[in-house]
Amino acid sequence: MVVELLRGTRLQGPVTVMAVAGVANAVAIFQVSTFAAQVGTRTFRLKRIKGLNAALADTLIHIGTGVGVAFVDSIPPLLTINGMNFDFVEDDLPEVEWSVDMTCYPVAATVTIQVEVEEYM
Amino acid sequence: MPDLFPHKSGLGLMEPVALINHNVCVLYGSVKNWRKVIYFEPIPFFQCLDIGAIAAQTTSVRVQAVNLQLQDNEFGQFRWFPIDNCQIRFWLPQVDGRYVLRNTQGVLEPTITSRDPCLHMTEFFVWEDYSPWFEAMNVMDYALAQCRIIAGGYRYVTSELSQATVTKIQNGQEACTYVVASGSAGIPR
Repeated sequence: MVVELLRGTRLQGPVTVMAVAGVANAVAIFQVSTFAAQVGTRTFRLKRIKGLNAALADTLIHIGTGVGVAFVDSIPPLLTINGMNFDFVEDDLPEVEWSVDMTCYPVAATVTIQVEVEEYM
Repeated sequence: MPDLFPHKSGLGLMEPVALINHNVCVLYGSVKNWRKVIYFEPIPFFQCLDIGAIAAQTTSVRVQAVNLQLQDNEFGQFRWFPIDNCQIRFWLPQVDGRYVLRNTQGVLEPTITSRDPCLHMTEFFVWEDYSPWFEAMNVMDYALAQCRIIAGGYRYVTSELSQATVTKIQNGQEACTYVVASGSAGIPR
């Protein structure tokens, strides 16, 4: 019998078109569940990143928390290739845990991104 | 041999410690609460407590899990595990440690879910609103943003037993399940 008591819920963020570059324009690509009436607090881990680089140049994307001067990288920047899809899966990603919304920005726009996460209660 | 007893773990997960019409004796300190179960229901696993942020290599204050309190005349049977990387000491009531040996007090870590998937070693009982207290140690060199505890089990509504029934139980003429709802400092020499 396998019991996975620590397992969370697999969820996905919205398809997010990052049409403006720069840390000041970082956008939420996954928002942690924070309903006022929910029981307990939640966190999540990044499990997959899928996206498209339409920036007309190779570019870095930064994934972390906060916006502008409050932005902090949670994982190293990822290099994406001009005109190509990118797909980082669980084995490519560190087991970082977020307790607030995950934000992202590209160094050059436009980049479209979607993430899969596992959220824990 | 009774079929239901505390900390039971056969193949599968948790079982209730008593059924409707069963006699129980809930021990809280030196008080014996002689009761008959008149209703019970499961409490699915939920996050009963978030101790909150804990700085690196520090111990949190002892925090009461008020979400595990029950109404008057009720007792609860719970199993639990933490989901954040810390070592947790368990107290019931606030000054009586549980999992206590002569020289140390046992702790729970998230690894309990692989070492004891049925969590039967974590089982504890709560009498009315005498809920437990948790104290977490962040053993890492990094701050912990949260320290969450998941618990689940059964809630029992009980009525008081007559003295005649208690006498029968004490004389071995009627069955009763004893459950412990507090720690013990032992018996002094």
